[in-house]
Amino acid sequence: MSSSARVEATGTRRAAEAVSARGSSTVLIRQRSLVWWAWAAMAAVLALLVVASIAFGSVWISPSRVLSVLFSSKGGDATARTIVWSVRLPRTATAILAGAALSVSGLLLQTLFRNPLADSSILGVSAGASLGVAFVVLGSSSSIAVIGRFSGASAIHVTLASAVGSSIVLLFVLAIAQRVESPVTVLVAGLMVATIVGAIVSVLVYFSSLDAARSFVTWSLGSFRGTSWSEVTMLTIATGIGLFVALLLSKQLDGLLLGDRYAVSLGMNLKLVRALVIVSAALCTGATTAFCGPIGFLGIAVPHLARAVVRHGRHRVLIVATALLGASLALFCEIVAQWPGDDRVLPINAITALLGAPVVLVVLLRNRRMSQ
Amino acid sequence: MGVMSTTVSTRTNQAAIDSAVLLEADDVSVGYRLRRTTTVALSGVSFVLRRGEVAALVGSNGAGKSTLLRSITGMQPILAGTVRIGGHLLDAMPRRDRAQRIAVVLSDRLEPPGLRVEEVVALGRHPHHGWRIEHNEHDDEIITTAIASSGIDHLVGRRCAELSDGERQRVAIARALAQEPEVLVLDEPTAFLDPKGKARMMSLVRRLTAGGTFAAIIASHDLDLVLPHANQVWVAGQHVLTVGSLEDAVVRRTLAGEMGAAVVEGNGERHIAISGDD
Repeated sequence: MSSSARVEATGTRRAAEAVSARGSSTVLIRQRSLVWWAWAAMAAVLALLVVASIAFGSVWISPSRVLSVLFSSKGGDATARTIVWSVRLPRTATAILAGAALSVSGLLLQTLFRNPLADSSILGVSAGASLGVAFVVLGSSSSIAVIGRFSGASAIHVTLASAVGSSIVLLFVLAIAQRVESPVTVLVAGLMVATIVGAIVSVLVYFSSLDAARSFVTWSLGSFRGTSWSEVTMLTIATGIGLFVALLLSKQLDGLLLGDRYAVSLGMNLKLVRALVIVSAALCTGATTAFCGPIGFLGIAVPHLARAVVRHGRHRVLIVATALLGASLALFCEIVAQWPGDDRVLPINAITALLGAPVVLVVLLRNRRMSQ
Repeated sequence: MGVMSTTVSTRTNQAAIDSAVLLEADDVSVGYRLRRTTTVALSGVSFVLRRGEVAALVGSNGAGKSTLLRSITGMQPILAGTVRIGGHLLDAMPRRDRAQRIAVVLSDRLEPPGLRVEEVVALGRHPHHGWRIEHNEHDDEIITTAIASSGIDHLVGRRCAELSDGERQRVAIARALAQEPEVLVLDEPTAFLDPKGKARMMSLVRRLTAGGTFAAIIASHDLDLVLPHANQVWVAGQHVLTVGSLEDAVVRRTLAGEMGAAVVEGNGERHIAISGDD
């Protein structure tokens, strides 16, 4: 007796898919591997935002001038060239890299902790990165005039210190998560770890020189601005490695979604996979935090937006979509921060919070497991 | 099938020749080693499980059921003795080889965010490929078959998180089938199901196992659900595993002593009655 015959027809089923699945034996998975128009739309939005982000600023540069500066060897006038190449392009690149890296790191943490609200700022990973930066910057206060303008050598130090700080906190919070069942408890524990680490940073700032303290505080407000090309290069390398490792892990990340015991039963080396996920998330969060300061809410909100847009749960798709959307959202925040025609620049974290916090609320209200 | 005897005595050489033997334990001890202290949960465990057989593992809480299952699925090391799967030593088996031979169904809620039913089933193909390839045409066929034989074709396209507990456990079975296991281990698979869901789950397991491609071990507290239809009964208690069939006097005595369970026959059916008396 086939049990499917007895099964009651429940809910709204996607009739077409079910029929096609029954009709043939090999159509099951392929049919949803590519929603080409969704990819095209995401890429187009990103391209538009790139042009807009270069065009807008204290001086308006029309999109046609932007394109001629970018794509022809001697296009545009000298002023426009200087502004585009030395200010707006590094800023745009920084926002793209930071947005993509923070969002993917949020996705990795949500999968690793099996918690829809995990993210590097909530779990204290960003705070760990700040501590790493504080040790380097405040420890050698004489050598740094303005944060955000590290010399080449110290850019590497700051990135490394930041990534190491991130991974230490991440290991610690993961150890807590192994001991407690409730996902909410893990989040609160993460917040406490963030608070402790933040307190240590405050103490370090208190004992540092005035100049170093001032520049550290400026850095800690968060910004995609003021990065030099050598810093953008450093950021590209570090986040590039992080994102690459994340993509390599996509199959294992899918397995993690089933829970630890199922993952082990699939033959996964859980310790190795966890370690690699931590390396990837720490590189993404650490590098971004080193150059842009702690940026909140992108990591938590963008993976949910990506799931809603591509309607997909597999990581191979989700990582790419999250990176694209994260880059777009960061650029959008950066454009909004400098409201066109106004010289004032709003703090980037205020904008990301205004966009991201509502997403968190929606997830909280929707998720049965979290609200129980 | 060459060997008709259902006796449980272990003959390693004989079993190696008998291709129907899928899982074999010889004088196994299981438990935990924590620093220098060793806690033995069960010792002297021996059994032989053949293709198409269902073993029901029962015992009170803390009797060592889960420890035994974790040990024979390679999730924790065995303390002594040997476990062989398809003639190969479990201890020496690489992770992925092991995952191609043993699949599990747990009581853990299977609700991966965003994944659809067919994608969860497809995860069962992971151990058959390296770290990069997810699946190919051949896998698609196995996945489709697993979905059909678990009776969940009508759930294809839906997200796992929006299913009922009973539907979700049948997805878990399909996922395990897609792994093409030789041994299917079910650890309290019916724990959170309603009575109808429990009965349906059990009849699904029996129907699939009767197909003869694998053997199943099912651990459960629902004695009346699992015992009457199992080929072998394993009772854990007092640090030993009593192995036999429901007809065996020793098994019946142990069931009565450990679980307060008595076998009641009537109307050509067997039921298990539980007494609360000491």
